[in-house]
This record gives sequence, C-alpha cells and structure tokens, in this order.
Amino acid sequence: MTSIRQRVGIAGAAWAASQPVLAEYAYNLQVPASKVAQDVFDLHNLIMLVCLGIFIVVFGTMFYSLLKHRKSAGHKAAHFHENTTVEVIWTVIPFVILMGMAYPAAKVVIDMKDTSNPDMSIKVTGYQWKWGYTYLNDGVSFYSTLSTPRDQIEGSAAKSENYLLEVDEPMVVPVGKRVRLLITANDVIHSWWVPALGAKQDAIPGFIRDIWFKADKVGTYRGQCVELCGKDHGFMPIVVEVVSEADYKIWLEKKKGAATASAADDSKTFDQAELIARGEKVYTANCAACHQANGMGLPGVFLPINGSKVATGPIDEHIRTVLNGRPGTAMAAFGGQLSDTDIAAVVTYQRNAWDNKTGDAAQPAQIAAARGGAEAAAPAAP
Amino acid sequence: MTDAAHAHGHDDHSHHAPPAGVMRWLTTTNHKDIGSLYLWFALIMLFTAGSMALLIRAELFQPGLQLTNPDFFNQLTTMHGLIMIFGVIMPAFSGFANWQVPLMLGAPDMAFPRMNNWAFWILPVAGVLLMGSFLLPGGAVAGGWTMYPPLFIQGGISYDLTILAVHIMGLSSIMGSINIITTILNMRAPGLTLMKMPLFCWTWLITAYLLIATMPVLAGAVTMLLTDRNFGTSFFNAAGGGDPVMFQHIFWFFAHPEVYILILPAFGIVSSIIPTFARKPLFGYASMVYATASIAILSFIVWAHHMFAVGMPAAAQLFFMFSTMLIAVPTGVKVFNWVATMWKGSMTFETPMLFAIAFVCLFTIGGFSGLVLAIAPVDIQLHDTYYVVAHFHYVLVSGALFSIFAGIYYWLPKWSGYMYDETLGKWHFWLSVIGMNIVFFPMHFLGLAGMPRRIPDYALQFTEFNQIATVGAFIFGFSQLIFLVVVLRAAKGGVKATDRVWEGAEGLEWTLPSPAPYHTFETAPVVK
Amino acid sequence: MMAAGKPNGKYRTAILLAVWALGLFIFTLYSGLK
Repeated sequence: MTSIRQRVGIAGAAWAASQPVLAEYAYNLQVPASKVAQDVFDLHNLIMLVCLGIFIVVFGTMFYSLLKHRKSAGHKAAHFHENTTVEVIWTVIPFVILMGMAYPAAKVVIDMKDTSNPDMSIKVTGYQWKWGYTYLNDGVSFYSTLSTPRDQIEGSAAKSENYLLEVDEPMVVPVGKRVRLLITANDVIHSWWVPALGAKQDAIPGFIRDIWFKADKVGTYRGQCVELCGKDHGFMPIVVEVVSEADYKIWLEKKKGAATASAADDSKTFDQAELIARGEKVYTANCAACHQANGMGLPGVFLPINGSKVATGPIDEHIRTVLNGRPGTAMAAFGGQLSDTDIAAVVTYQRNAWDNKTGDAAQPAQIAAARGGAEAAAPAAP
Repeated sequence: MTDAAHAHGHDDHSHHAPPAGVMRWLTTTNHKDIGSLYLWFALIMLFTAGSMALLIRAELFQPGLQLTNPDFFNQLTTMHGLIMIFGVIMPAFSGFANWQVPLMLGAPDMAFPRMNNWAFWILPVAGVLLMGSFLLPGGAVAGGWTMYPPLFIQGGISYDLTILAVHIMGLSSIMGSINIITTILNMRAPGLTLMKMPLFCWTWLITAYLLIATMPVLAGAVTMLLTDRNFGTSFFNAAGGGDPVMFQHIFWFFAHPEVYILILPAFGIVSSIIPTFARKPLFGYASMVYATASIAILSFIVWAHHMFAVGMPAAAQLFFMFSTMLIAVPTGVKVFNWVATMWKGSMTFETPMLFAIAFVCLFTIGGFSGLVLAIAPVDIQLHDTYYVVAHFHYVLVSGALFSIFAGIYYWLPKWSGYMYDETLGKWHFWLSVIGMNIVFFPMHFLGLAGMPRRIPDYALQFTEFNQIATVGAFIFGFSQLIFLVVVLRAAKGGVKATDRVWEGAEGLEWTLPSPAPYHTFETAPVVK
Repeated sequence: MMAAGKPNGKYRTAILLAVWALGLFIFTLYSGLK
C-alpha cells in the first residue's frame, strides 16, 4: 500500500515526464514579441494567481464544509443566519484586491492607447475576405490574401504547417520600430489581430482607428481576423514579418518596383489569350469565394456568372458591375481593389469561360474610361 | 378585483372543469398550466439548439471542412445562440416564475392571467419564424446572435424574419415582466412584506425591472436594423452619416443587463435550494437582496466592456474596466453567503443540492474568467476568442442551465405529486458536470493560444483541445436524454411525494398538497 | 377562479410599466436619429 506522500511523488514524476508531450498543448498566451504583449502576459499571470488564490480559499472552505457538516456524519445544523462583521470583511477585502489589480491594468491601458511619435504608419483595410496594406510613408500598397490551397481545406491534400495562417503578401516591418496602424474596413466590421505583438483593433467601415506596436525580435508573427464578417471570416489571416532594417529597405524597394511595373501595364493592350490567362488568376483570387470556381454561385445567396445576362450581355454593363459593385448586396465594388488591367482580364475571362462564349475582350483603357463615367467614382486603393 | 363578479354573469365555463385537450392548453389562464407550457417549450428548444451545438462541435473536431460549408456554420452558431438565450433560458425561468411566484406569495394567480397566456403563446410563433428561416433562400440568419451591422444589413429575408421574431420575444418578456412586477408589488398575502418574501421572488422582481428597462432598447436597435435594411435609413451606415458602432452601444446597453436577466433567477433558485438541504436559513438575506439590487444597477454602466477592441478613448476603457470589476464585489458576497449557508449546516446531497453546489463552484469559475476579461488590456488579447466562449458557457451552462435542472428536481415533486428517480438524477448530474467541464475548460486555453470565435476551421495547433471539447460535448449532450427520461416519468407517475417533500423545506408552497391543486390560495393565507 | 378581492392598484402598476417601456423604445429610436 503506497502512502499518500509516495503517491504524490509518483504523480509529480509522471507530470514532469509528460512535459514534452504537454508542450504541444498551449496553456497560456502566446510568447510575447513586444513589450506591450509582455505587459499583458504579466498582467494576466497576476490576475490568474489572485483568482486561483481566492478559488482555493473559498472552495477549500466549501468542500471542507461538504465533508464535515453533512447529516450522514451526524452534524446538527446551527441556526445563525447573519453576521454583519463578517459580511463587511468579505465585502471590503475583495474591493481592496480589485484596486490592487486595477492600478497596473490602468498603466497598460494608457500605454496601449498612446499612438504618438510613430516611426512609420501603415493603413490597414479589412475586406470581405482579405486585408489591404498601404504604407503611408512610402506609397507601397498591396493586398494580403489567404494562400492555403482549397484542396487542403477540403481534405484532399495534406495540411501544411501554417495551414490557414499563411498569406501571399505579408506585412513587412523593421524590428524595433514604433509602427502605427490606421485601421478601417471597406464593407463590414473586421478586426486585425496579431497575438504575439499584443495588437488588436476592430476595422470599422467609414472610420479610422489607430493602434501601435513595436516588435522586439525578428520573426514571423501570425494572427487572424477576429470579428465575424461573413462566410470567410475564418479565412483571412494576418502575417507580419519583422525583419532587420536593412532587409526592410530591400523589401520596400522591390515593392516599389513591382508597383511601377503594374501601373505600366494599364497603358498597354493585350491579346485575348493573355487576358483570359491573367483573368482566371484574378477570378480565383477575388471572385471564386462567392461565385465559385465553376461560375455557378450559391443558389439564393450568390448569383451565377455562367450563363448570366451580365456576363453575356453588353460589356459596358459588365464592366460597371465589377467596378462599382451592387450596393445593398454582397457584391463589392472592385474598382478600388483591382487595377485596370486586372479588371479587363477578369471581365474577359468571365465572358469566355464555362458556357459563356462571347468572344469579347476588354482592354485596360476601356476600364479607365468607365471609371470616369456613370456610377459613383471608385474608392481609392487600400 | 371584480373579475369573478363579471365572470359569473357572462361566462358559462367559470365554475365548471376547464376545457380538456388542446383547447385547455391554448386558452388556459392558470399560472400552473402556463408555467408548464413555458418549461416544456424550453425543453424542446434545449434539444433543438443542443443539436445545433453538436453539429458545430462535430465540424470542429478536426481542422478542415468536413460537414458544413462556412455560411451554414455561421447559421448554426447564430441560431444556437439566439435559441438558447431566447428560447431556452428565458422561457425556462419564466416557467419557474409562473409556477412559483404566486405560490410563494400566497396569491391565487398572476395579476393578469389572460396577458400571461398571450405572453407564452407568441413564443412558439417566434420559434417557428426562427427555425423556419433555415428553409428560406439564403438560409437562416448568420450574422451572430449579436447582429452587428453592416454584416447584418447584407443578409437575406431570414434576417428580417429574425428581427420580427426578436420583437415578438421581446414583447413576450415585457408582458411577462409587467405581470411579475404587478403580482409581487400588489398581490402579496397580508403580512408578507417585501423583506419577508423568498429570495426567489426578489431575484425575479429585479429581473423583471431589468427586462422592462432593456427590452425596449433592443426593440429600438433591431427596428433600426430593419429600416437600414429595407427603408433606406443610415443609422449604422457611415456612407449615409451613420455609425456601425452606435449599434454596438445600443445593443450592449440592452445585452449586458440581459446577461444578468439570464442569471438572477438562477441565484434565486439556488438560494431556495441550499437552505433546504443544509437545513439552515439562508445566510445574510438582507445582504443578498442588496447585492442582487447592486448587481442590477451596476449592470447598466458596464456595457462597453463588450467593445474594448472598438477603439474607444483611454478614459472610456478605464471607466468601463473599473465599473465592470466592481460587479465582482456584490457577486462575491452572494457566493460567500451561499457557502456560509452550508457552513455548519446538516447537509444531504439529493440531486437538487448537487446541481446547486455545482452551480456555486462552476459559476464562480465563469465569474473569474469574466474578471480576467474585465481587465481591458488583457481583454484586447482575448476579445472575440474562445476564451469568451468558455466564459459565457461557464456562466450560462453550469450557471443558468444547472440552476434550471436544480429547480426542476426540487419543485417537480410539488408540481406533479411524484418523486423523480434519484438514481437517474444523480447519473444526469455527474455526466453533466463532467461533460460540461470537458467541453468548456479547454476553451480557455484555445482562446489564450489565439483561436478566434465563430470560425468553422482552424490552424493545426488548436486541434487537440478542439477534439477534447467535441468529445465532452457529445457526453454532455447525450446525458440530457437522461433528464428527459426523468422528467417524462416523474410527470406521470412514481413514488408519491409528501406535502413537504424535502425535510428542510420552508415556504408557503410546501404547505400545499403535492401535487399542488389547480387553484390555490383563493383565500389569502395569513403570514406572521 | 379569482376571488373577488379589494382593489390593489395592479392596473396602475401595469400601465406605468407599459408607458415606460413604450417611451424607452421611442427614445431609443430618437437617439439613433441624432
């Protein structure tokens, strides 16, 4: 018969031995990569300890009572039913404990809210269902979309290590710099969050709200949209790559170069085959989420493009629909999100894919002209 | 009171047996019948919304999409929330109020028996609107039970029907509250002062005031959603000069007190049960009344703690953080008083007491995670994650729902005249407690690790805890079938219950025979 | 059956509560307009 002490010792050894296994199980906040995240981590540990302490005292008392003050153990009921002194004590002590927690918490609130003196600013825009980043100091602008392939989600391919937490174009920032984020949305409320950096802010259409972070160490930090925003709410992650200053400068130059190349495209003409090939990529990245890869949409929810009047009727109406969307529905205005070339490509693709065989081709210049005319002017790029 | 005089002259049925069959239930104005209707309705809705939860957990068993598409998943989570809150917890507590308040006060019935009938019967109408919307084009509402615009403006016809259902359920609650307040204020037996009435009546009185003070605000908020959706208004549309965050302020001004509406009656039930099984009076009755009132008053000034990530100024974060932390004080007082009631009592552990004890312990865990969330900087990391899901399921499942189970086991013998099967009751208890903790405790870790809410698929590091939670969900879910069996049997037959039923039970309802007669206290009892 | 009882002010209580509820509803809508 093992004694209680021996049993506790065995349990302790078993627990220690299981640590490598338990390490797969995350029990606390993510490892902080910024001072703010560290402050929050510490604050949470403090509160947990206080709660644990109170829990042990209160429920230790209760379980003791359940054991000792039971009828089957012969205990007879006392008759007291009030005690003002005791009541005052257990009102005042919790109040004092709360004040002890409130003070360090208030300091962190004030620190988190202070967005002054940033080293750089990035405008973040939430879309259904991707993020857009505009580096306000440098004019670089791009979208950041989930890059996990569909077949991994549907189970016909093995899931990669960063399943659902990977994007085509991460936000890149230099280490140790105070980055201010100006956060808004294009359609519904989203929320931008990177746990390791301790930064979260709701993205509200029509309003800009700012936060800041300063990453302590080089690394890749991943987060997700954290406000229900429709069907692909779970599929619009955030990736922040924190790099050295030198690497950041290199990345910035590359981005500026790519932007120039893309703008140059808009003054070219393309043949139909080029447009269709490019358009299919644009369709997959921007349209297929709702209209599906086969162009059939979702009955009652998203209209089909295959065989639709818009995609087989007058091309101007088709272009206007893509540019300006359909207000009051889920069809967003893509004029602000896609370049003239990309819109020309996707319109051309839609008009010649599946059962649609219009033989049409749209050129970037047509799109540029359509932007100036008819409906409301397209909103600015992210 | 001249109802009886009128009834004599015009109404043949007044002195004869009530109509039988379906007509009895459709036209009843009897508080016991209506109480039973509310409770059966809540039970059916429990299994309905519970099935949705099992579907949700089945989808979340592994990463990847196996059973649902993302849009249908959002419908499930939204409907699960709406039905559990408005179709299960609130009607169940109304059922308890209807059965118990007149009996505890020595009143013959509720103040307005006919309005009582209407208050119940519009609920199934709302239920049909909600459940039926699954079949409409676009499916059921999928914007979260919190209905935030602009997302809520995008949805199809079922969103408008949901708004209508919310109006109907709100009207039901308001009518019920008017009835309860009036009954408690105007129809107590002579000698029964407010500070002598059972705490259950106090908690319902305060709950009813909260309902009257907040349901109209919800009605206003969803009406604005309706007009933004259909009549070109821009309450919540920035392009038209409106503000989506204004909806959140208005909604949470309702919804924070709403969560106290969902728990105060539970406090009342537990405060009835623990003294009975400890064979000792409730400790600190007056403090319990003041604590409940303080919680209710404070609940009006904390709403924006649901909005800490919206981008409010630091001063607002601080105000709402401090006011929210303050609510822990009266809540703590109540917990201490329950423990003090048990202390040096002579306890036995029949099923009602088991659920009441589990309530005190597990609700407190929910309270602690609430305190963690109250700390605004920590909330920034936990808002909209599974930590919040863990928190509110601890307070709503092991809080509100367990108190409902406790109350049923406690009072059913008085209502039906038969004792329930104690062995089955204990099985139900243990499986529920163990199952519930297996589902929801891991969710604290998921939230801390960074898993967002309302997602149908997740990154690989969240797999293990999701699997544990799903296993727990099926244990918990199927255990409720035991409860169904217990209730169905005890409603019809079994060992006969005595009048007092429980050795330590005190209160007017225990002076009546079991089952309580159809009409009781037609002459008011004298209370010393 | 309700016993014929003395007047107990229940209609007054009920009307006050109902007026409050309706007023609050309208006030909410009005505040949204500002």
